[in-house]
Amino acid sequence: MAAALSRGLLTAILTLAAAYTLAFFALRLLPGDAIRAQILAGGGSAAAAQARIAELGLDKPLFEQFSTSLLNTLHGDFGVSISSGRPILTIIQEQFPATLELALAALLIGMSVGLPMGAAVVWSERRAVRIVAAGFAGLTTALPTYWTGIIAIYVFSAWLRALPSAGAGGLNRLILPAAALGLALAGNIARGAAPALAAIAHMDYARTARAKGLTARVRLFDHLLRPALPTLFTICALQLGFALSGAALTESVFVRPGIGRLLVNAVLERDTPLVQGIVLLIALLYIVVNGAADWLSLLADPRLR
Amino acid sequence: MSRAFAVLYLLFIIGIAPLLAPYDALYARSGEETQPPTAAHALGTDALGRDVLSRLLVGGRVTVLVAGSAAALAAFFGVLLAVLAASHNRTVARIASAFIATLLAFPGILLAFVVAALIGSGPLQIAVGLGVSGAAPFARVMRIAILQIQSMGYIEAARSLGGSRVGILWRHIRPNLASAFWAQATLAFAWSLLNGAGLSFLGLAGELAQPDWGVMLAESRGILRVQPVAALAAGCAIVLTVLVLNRLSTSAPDARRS
Repeated sequence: MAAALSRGLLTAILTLAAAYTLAFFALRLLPGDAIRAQILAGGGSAAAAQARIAELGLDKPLFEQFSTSLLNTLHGDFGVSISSGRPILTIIQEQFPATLELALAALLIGMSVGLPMGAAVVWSERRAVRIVAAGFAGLTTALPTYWTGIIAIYVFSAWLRALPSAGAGGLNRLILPAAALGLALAGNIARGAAPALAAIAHMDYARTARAKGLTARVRLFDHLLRPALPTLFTICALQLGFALSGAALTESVFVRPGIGRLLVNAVLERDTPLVQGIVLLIALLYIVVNGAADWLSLLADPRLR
Repeated sequence: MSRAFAVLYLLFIIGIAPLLAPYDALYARSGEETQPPTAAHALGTDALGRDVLSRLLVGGRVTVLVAGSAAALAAFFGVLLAVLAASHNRTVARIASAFIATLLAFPGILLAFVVAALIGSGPLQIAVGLGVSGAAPFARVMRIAILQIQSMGYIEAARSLGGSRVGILWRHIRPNLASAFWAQATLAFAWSLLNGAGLSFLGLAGELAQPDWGVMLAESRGILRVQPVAALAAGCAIVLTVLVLNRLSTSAPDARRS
């Protein structure tokens, strides 16, 4: 158990280090010079641009820049954004809660729609229910969040005038974006859960339970869902990572603050340090969430230890 | 049957649908902006007075071609990485596996977005971004498939008969990879279509000569209250195509065997 945990931790750290290196060099090697463009556009001279570049240390050799930036990052200093001049950590700290709120709400919706849907595909005695559940699961995986979002805005904001279409804060600004993102997660969850549940439903002990005459409720909860918990947990945790990263499109549709939209704007403005900071944060979250899911499924299922 | 239908559908979108457009998809009629569906314009007009139906029929070509090229790129680099990661040279295998794991640490759509945006904007850039980010999941699936086949008795038999590694890879492993490959390739196609339209929706398509469905969706937001048909049409086209591609991936030869 401890060995598996420390091995997972080591892999996570190595992956993160590799991701950091990859992001640093990929972003530096590509063309586009935001500082020069910004200063020249603001009427500054080429010499002023050069001075600013020197001040930020961007004229140094690439490897020297890399070691400085790595040291700073390890000390918790992510640098400053080129476009706004504010510390990157502060900007991310401001924007992150909105994204986390959206991702968690979407996961909650995705689980409460997706898990019953996946269970119905496997469990229902009625063919019609199985077909409808499978069809709906298939449909939701094909729904782009940016389109369901637009439709939701039309129906609930423009037509019914029931909910606001933009911004963040408060439950009524959260429902529509969370539902649009949650629906996409529900499809993924149902599609992941169905085969895992089907494998358990065909086990010998499931047949024995049925032959013994146990009620459907006991068999569903004790013989099907309980042994499937670790797998279901992993599936849902993976979706949390997907929700945190997929938030970019949802945040753009609903004009919500958040790191997704922050990243989109940073990329379009070629704010390289900010892009790097957000990309690393998301990679870190992704690795931590997936690692935590692995660890929790080890806790829940002694056979995996 | 459904495979043939799916292929015909895609060929129709790329080849025939643009020819069926009743009007020039780029022609803006002043005085006819933002009209709901009429007899002359079956799906109405957009904010610039362009015919929505014509844009829908023409736009599918770019959308499907971008997604198809992205899937082809992902398949090429994915298989290459998978073969390296399953190689007998342990150093090569470790480096390739670590590279795949690193790429997988970046969530797909974000990687595609950052790569595409950094090399510019336009359909080609979107395809490259999606292809790069689709390569790692592709490689993961193919690596597992290769390792499974490599542990089979017939591979051991071929090796003990003196078969070369490349010969075994080509003659014995490759044919048995086909089902996993096609299932994954169509999944990559569907994923690229959904997310390619998303990237173009976010504004990465650039100043396009030809419309695409993501751009149409983005433009339809401004006239949503007056002309919702424009948003409905582009979205339905994306969903229908993704559903067809998903259907294709479940009906790929032997995909259910696993």
